[in-house]
Amino acid sequence: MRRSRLESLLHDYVAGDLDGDARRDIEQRLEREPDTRAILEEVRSAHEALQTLRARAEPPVPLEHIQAAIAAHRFDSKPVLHLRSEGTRFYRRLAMAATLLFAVTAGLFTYNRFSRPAPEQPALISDDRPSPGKRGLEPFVDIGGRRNGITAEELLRRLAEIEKDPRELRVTPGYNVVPIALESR
Amino acid sequence: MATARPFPLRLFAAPAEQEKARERTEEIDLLRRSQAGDQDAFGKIVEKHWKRAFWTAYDVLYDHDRAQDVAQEAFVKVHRALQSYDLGRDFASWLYRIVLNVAIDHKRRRDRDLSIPTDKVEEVMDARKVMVEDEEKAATIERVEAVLAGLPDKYRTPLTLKDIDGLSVEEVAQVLDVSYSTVRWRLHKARALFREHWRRLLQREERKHNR
Repeated sequence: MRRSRLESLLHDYVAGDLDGDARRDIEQRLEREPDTRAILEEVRSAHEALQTLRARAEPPVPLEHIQAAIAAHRFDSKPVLHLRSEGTRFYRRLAMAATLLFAVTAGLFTYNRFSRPAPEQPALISDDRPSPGKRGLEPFVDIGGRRNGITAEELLRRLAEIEKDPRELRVTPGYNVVPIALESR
Repeated sequence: MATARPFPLRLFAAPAEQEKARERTEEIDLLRRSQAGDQDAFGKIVEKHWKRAFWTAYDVLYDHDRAQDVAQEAFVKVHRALQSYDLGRDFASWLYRIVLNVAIDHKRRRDRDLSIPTDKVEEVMDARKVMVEDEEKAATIERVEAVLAGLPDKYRTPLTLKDIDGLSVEEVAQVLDVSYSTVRWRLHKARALFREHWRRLLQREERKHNR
């Protein structure tokens, strides 16, 4: 048996917490092992020292003070429903404030995101060439979809700004801009 | 309002158990009357548990005045929460828990306040001497308290609740709101720490005595 386990059992033995077989085992060990008896003496000395605190005096009961405090508290508006410590209350309030702040921030973000038009983005043009015989890989211009509300004329103007010849392109209703040359192949 | 769970009928129970059951029945009666607003009944509850509450607070704070304030505040809280108290629960465990919470709050506040005047400390030491008349016993108590005060709170509290106040491991677990095995482990650790510090203290005193 490990020493720490033995010490723990000896503490229980001295405190009277061991019953039946466990108690008998310890008593047999104590009979045959001087080392265990030495540990027991140390354990007993510490236990007896602690027991002296049981003899501490009966402090006077300030019953009148308590009753006065209770009477004063009767006029409090807040009843104690949960016995939370001051510290716990502080952290609960802090958590509530943090939750509220998060909710307000999230609300403002959502409002900004969906109630205002998104800022205009420059048209992107892919220079990829399509693989022969495969659909859907045509070079296209993504202007951010319908949400931007950009007209075909505006798109063509932007394409001109980034030096793409509008005559090579055709704007489709899905806002993909497909090179006319490829489309005609 | 919650109702008390009936106690099992123990015709052949040991006298100690019968006494315990009788005390519990009396306490439930006092609590029920207190819930109905009977101040005398609540006064009897305070008188019955005051010593435990006071010393439990003291073992956290090591200050008589503050321990008295804490115990007082705890009983006021108990009174305010009495209406929602479930009579089936163990009252002492509930009280201990409140006392410990209040005491720990006071300790934190005190630790933040670094301006405790030295004459206040002397006053507290004088109060301690008045409370224990036997000088030798008072000296031993002072030494034990000094050793206990050096232990971390998480080990000291289960040790004082179990080995001084005489609570069972299950009751300590209830008071501290931790598992049975956690209490067992902390108790084991606390006893080992206390024993070690106590042994060193005795050795130091012996060396001093031999010089």
